[in-house]
Order: sequence, then structure tokens, then C-alpha cells
Amino acid sequence: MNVSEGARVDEERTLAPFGRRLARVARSESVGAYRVVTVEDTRGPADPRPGQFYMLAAERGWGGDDGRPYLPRALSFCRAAPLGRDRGASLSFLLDEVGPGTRRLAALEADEGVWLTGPLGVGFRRPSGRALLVGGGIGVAPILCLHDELHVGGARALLGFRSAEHAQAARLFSYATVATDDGSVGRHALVTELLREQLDDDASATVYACGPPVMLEAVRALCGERRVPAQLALESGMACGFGACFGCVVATRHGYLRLCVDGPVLDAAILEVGAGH
Amino acid sequence: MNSIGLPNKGLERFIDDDLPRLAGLPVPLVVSVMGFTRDELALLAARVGERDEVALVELNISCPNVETGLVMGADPTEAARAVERVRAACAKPLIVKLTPNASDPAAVAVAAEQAGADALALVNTLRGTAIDPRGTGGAWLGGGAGGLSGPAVRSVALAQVQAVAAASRLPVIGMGGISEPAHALDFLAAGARCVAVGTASFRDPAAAARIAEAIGAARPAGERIEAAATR
Repeated sequence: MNVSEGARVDEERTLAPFGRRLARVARSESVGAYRVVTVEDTRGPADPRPGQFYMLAAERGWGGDDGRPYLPRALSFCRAAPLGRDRGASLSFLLDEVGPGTRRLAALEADEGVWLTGPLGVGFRRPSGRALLVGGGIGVAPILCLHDELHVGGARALLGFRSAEHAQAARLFSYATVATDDGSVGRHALVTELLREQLDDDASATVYACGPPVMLEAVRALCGERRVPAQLALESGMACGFGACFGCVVATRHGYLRLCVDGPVLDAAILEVGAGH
Repeated sequence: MNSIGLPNKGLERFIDDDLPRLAGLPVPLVVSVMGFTRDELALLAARVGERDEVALVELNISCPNVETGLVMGADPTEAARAVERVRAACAKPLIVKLTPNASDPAAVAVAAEQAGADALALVNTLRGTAIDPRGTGGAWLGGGAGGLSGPAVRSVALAQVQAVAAASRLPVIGMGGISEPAHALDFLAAGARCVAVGTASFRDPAAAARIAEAIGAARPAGERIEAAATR
């Protein structure tokens, strides 16, 4: 029985089967400073929505010398491909090694097991009209699958990275405009400057963004000022991922919302100033 | 470790929005209440206790009483006064949830029993803290300090369950780091009548059901708690 707070079921939310399930790692590859780990989720849904996320834990070696990590880690998928009739999906996750959990997940090898719960949360609403996609750093993950989906329509992807090594993640995109903090690849600019130029050119667009808090706050402020609708995928550490722990709340005009069930994708217009952590 | 506290919608919205949906679940409902004064505790226990949907009320006494400055569950006299007050306001079976952050949890348990508790639950989280790993030297948790749970607390919880079960005749609900069937059996061997699974459920939402099945607990956990509490 579903007692989740997020009772509404809609196009942005594919429901997860109850409990966790074991999936096999199909492959793991380096993409510049990042890893892309692909798992075969044969017992999950074939059609997670871009922006939704999964809770991941390695089957073995989860809990290192000091006991960490213990809880699974929340990661947006960056690609999903159906494996065939009722056979789930091949899911790819973009990883940046920032702590013991992501370190262990980045070290996964083919044929290892991964515990999965998901897909969880609410993803991006399917765009209609001109879409501008904005990704920063590891936040390009959910932007990639949205970009895949919109490829036919040719949505423009604006990507920002801190260095040339990180900017190699842009290779995953069929077409993207890149900015780097140090100017080593693409424009020597913040990705929000690219967005500003695009909006100067034509403000009739919807913006879809994921990235670090300062970037999302700048996107929120810019889109607010130009009255451009924006959907932002926010990030938070999560203990459970399904609404129980309240560790991922953000302040909105409708009170506190849990990013795991009411997000992680939220309309920029409901966020309080600087709420993106 | 967490410093989340007990975020909630408040009494009215809990009763109006949450309780009707929770009542649809095929288990008896235990509602846990916590407050910063004895008046608050009594009000909450009375209001949820009068609802037909609610089978049992749990009183969380791990918080400070702002009137006395004492943590209610850390001091036997303070605990007894809270339980007495709530007992008078609530006709439903009353579980008292004990904090491990007390010098003598068994003495608090006996005080709660004498004040009218029907069952005891322990342990709550152990007080802990963490320093920001980014080298700032400041606190890593939003609340400055927090509560530790999960595998690290299991042996402490087991010892406290054993001490409380030996000191009190009330049924004990044991918890603290249970993630495998063997852990649950340890708590039952230490004197617990029931066990609960918290943190492990965040890792595996089906953890409690898996453990119950493995140890041959045929009846749903809620039913066993109710049976234990009304024995």
C-alpha cells in the first residue's frame, strides 16, 4: 500500500516497485574527471522520468574502515534505455568521487551487484516549445537524459564545468555549448552567462537546470527577472529517499517540501530566495 | 547521525490529513508524541488517544522540559511526573520511549512503570556530534549536535534493553541498530518482547518484513506490540 506523501501520480513520476532489488553492473567507464556506471535494472520500470533518482548501494564493500557508507546514496540517472519487453532498463549514473559512498560506487566493476531503490521523486515535465537546458558540473546528469529525449526537437544544452577534465562530460551530449571556469575549454564564462545571452536573444523559452546551489540560485534569479518559467533539479543528501527522514527539505512558498517526494525537480517560481541549499 | 529533530505538520493537520490515510493500513497504529512541557505532552496524548484509529500512544521523553531545563527521560523524577500527567489524560495503552542518554535508564524505566506506563521502548538515538570534514573546525550537523543510530549503537542498546527488562515487569520493545535477523534474536534473548527496525529501513525499505519473516514472527509486528502492551 502506498502511503507516500506524494500521493499524486502524474507524467513526471514513474513509481518504484516496493523495496530494494539487486542489479548487475554492465560496465563502468571514465569520462574525464567522472565515472559513468551502467547497471541492468531488470526488475525496475523501463521508463523512469528524466530528473527522477535512485538510491544506490554496492552489494559488497559497502561500509569501509570507519563503517561508512552505511545508507545508500541518491543519484539521478543520466541515461535510461529499455531492455526489452518487461525486462526493465539499462540505467547509467554519472559519478563524481566526493566521499566514501561515491568513491565505492565509482570503483564498481562489471558483474558486481548494486542495490537499487527507485525511480524516486518527480522528474522534469515534458517540454513543449523552446527548451533551454542548463547543466553545471555533476548536475549535467539529469540534463543529459532530458537532452536525449528532446534531441529530435534540438533543445540547446548549455554546460558549465570547472576544468577541461570535467568538461569531457560534454562528450556525452550530441550537441552542447560549453563554458569553463578557467577558460580551458569552450567559453571562459559561467554557464549562467550563456543562459543570459540566450534569453537576451529570445526570451520565449522554458529553462531546465541542474547544478550546484550557486548556479541554480543564479538561474532562478535570472529567470525570475525575465519572467521565464524554469524547472530546477535540486540536490540534497538523503538518508531514505522516500519521504521518511525529512533530511532533504527546502523552503518554498508552500512551506517546506521534501526534495525526495515533492522534488527533486521544482518550479523555480515556488522557491524562496537562496533556498537551493 | 542526524540532527533533523521531529518535523511534523502539527496536531491539527496530523489528525485531519495524515491519520485518515494511516488508518487504512492493515496494522494497529502507534502514535508517538513529544513536547517541551508536560502540558504539551498531555494535550497531544489526549487528542490522539481519543481517536478510534489509534491503538497505542508512545510518549517520547527524550526532550528537555523547558520549564525545568531537565531532559525528561534522563531523570527518574522528571520522567515520572511526565508519565503521570499523560497517564491521566490518555486512556489508550501507553508506551514510554526511553533515551539512552541517561546515567541509569533502568531507574527511569521503573519510575515510568510506577507512574502508569504500559510498555517501554528503547533506545532512542545516542547523543553525538561530528566536526566538519572540510577542515573548518566547526560543527558538521545543522543542530550543532545530533543523534547516533544504526549499527554503531547496537551493543549499547542491547545492554540497556537487558538492564531495563531485568528491572521492570513491563513489556520492552527493543531497538537500536537491528538490521539482520540475528540482531533481532539477540534483543529478544536480552529480554525484549518485541523489536523495532529503524535506520536499516532507510537502507532497505523491506528490512523489517524480511527480519520478521526470517525469525518466524508469524503475526504482524503491530499486532504483537498490541498484545504485549495489553498483557
